[in-house]
Amino acid sequence: MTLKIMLTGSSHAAAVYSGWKAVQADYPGVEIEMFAFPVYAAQHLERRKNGTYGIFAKDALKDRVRDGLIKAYGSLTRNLNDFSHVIVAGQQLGNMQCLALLASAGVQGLRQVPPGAGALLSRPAWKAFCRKSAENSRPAGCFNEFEGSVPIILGRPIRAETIVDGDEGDIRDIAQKLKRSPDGVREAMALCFDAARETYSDAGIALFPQPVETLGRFGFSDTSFNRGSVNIRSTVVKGDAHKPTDDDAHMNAAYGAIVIRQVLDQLNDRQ
Amino acid sequence: MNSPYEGLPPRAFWRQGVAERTALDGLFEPRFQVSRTDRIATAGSCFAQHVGRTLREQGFNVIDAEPLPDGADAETASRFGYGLFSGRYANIYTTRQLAQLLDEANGDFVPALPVWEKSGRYFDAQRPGVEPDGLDSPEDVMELRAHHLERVRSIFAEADVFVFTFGLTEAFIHRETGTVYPTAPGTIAGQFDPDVFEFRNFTYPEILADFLKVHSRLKAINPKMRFVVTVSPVPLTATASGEHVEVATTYSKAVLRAVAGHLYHTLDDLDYFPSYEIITSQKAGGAFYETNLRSVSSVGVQTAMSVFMRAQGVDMATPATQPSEQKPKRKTKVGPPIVPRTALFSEEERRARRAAGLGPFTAEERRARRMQLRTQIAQVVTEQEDDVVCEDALLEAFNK
Repeated sequence: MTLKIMLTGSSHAAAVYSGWKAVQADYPGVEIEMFAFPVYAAQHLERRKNGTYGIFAKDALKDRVRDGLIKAYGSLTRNLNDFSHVIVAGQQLGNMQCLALLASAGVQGLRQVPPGAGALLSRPAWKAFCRKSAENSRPAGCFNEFEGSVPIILGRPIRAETIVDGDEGDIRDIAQKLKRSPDGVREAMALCFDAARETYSDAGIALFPQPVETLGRFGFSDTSFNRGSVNIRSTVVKGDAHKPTDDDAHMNAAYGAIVIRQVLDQLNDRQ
Repeated sequence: MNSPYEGLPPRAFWRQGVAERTALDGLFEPRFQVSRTDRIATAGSCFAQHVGRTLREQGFNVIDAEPLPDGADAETASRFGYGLFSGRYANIYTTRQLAQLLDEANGDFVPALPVWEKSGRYFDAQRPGVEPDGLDSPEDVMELRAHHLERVRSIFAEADVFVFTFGLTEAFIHRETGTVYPTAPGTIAGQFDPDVFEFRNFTYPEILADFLKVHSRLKAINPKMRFVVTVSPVPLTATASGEHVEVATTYSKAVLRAVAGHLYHTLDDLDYFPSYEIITSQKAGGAFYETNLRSVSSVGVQTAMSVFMRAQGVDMATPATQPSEQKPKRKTKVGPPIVPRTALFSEEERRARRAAGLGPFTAEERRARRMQLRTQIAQVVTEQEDDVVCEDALLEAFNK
């Protein structure tokens, strides 16, 4: 039996799709169709009657981008009934708020109180904050629009650790603090991802947060996973999957391969 | 002079000072000014949370020794006891508990039975509410307590002004050692064993002695420290004294008020702020309370705190002086929150748009996003209005 999967969501789907291309030989019987959009257009994705899904607003995309996507996808809509699973990539989980908290606090058993800070969080408190961040980032109700096939959600990757030298003041400050006292940050973020997974699980939705092994020493994405990063333009519109962008928000095929393997292995386990 | 009352100002007379007053000015004439550069420590019963929060909102330098970053979820922070007082000690209802905390932080006291258990989870007996789900082990509790005590030391090492709200006279203590607890054993955690614990209704001399001990200890740390005390206007949820709860409340508040009065008249470095009188005044006719006639309404809090602030030279909103001037219950009408244009869209969204070759966001897109953000901000503001933790549930055992 063939598993036919739609990969949708925002530009973060590009890394997953590139990763899929790299590992698909290991998954005979699986087909993944890319149907993702730049983040500004992804907010216009909607589901209509009879399982029709896609971009219906004509002015949601600029002509050139729309033409490129139509050329790549054939049309800007799909029928969800044609797919056994839907993967939505790029969901915000509030991870930056969690990292900000770690920059200013310790977590019992995981991380010492950083120099100059005063709070030592218990593990239950830390998980509660992480749960709340994930809940606050979840758009109310939107995933329930996927009748029949509850989507699989992929968390948006944390910005790459190169941000520590970037020009975005708030995030750079967080990164610099964590870089100065990185102990236990990865372990704390692992607990954070568990908490996010639980909040989605409580709502009957499977969430795959960023794999912990893709985090660098101080909790941001390891640079090896954003080197040659890909986005919608490089993978779909221009059809050039190999053109690297190296931006700190998107990840590369190596990252995507780890993520898609996790998803497909779990689907295989279920079956 | 025919009478010693002749020539006294209107505030000395009930008719002019209360019955016919149109403003609360003159009710509080501070003995000293608290400035925005003073480092202020807060502790006490739940009403002290209002005091601390208002001071912070007005730009005063309220110490937070266990701070979380600005973006941390306020509701969760409050649930775990963060940001309510200068330290994460939760409500300190009795002066004995305050004295005991300072002794413990200084290494002069070790509480009996410091860890309480419930359903396999472990709680700090001195502040069981700050970890609502408990911890995995007694060792975890003690580790967090050691950290907390270190932070408590830092609070009083740096404070210039200590604001304390007297809350209760009633408490439960450990019979053998006299260790006092903020909640009755067996409510949040632990078990009530009458052979181990006993009820205590602290007396005027005990409370006075406890506060003077606190005063002495803090003055030894900082000889210039000043004190502002208030009495919580929140009645008892329940009493274990055997008296009617209203009678017990009056007794409790009268004792606390008398102690505060004595302290004011005998210590030059201590001021008494009459929030108790403002909230419970006959002039207000109970209108500064919520419908349970116990919780202080946000209008009541605002009224009391505006009196304090005006006396300190800070002009908050004009205080209400009588019920007809108040709105029925919180939800004070305010204009929509202002969302600056630069904050409407994230850098990532802007970058994505630029990358797609699209122009600036349209007026319609900005309007839609502004409305969305305003709704989110309004929700947060509404939640924050209710984040005072009074721990009524902690006192349920008094009813047993």
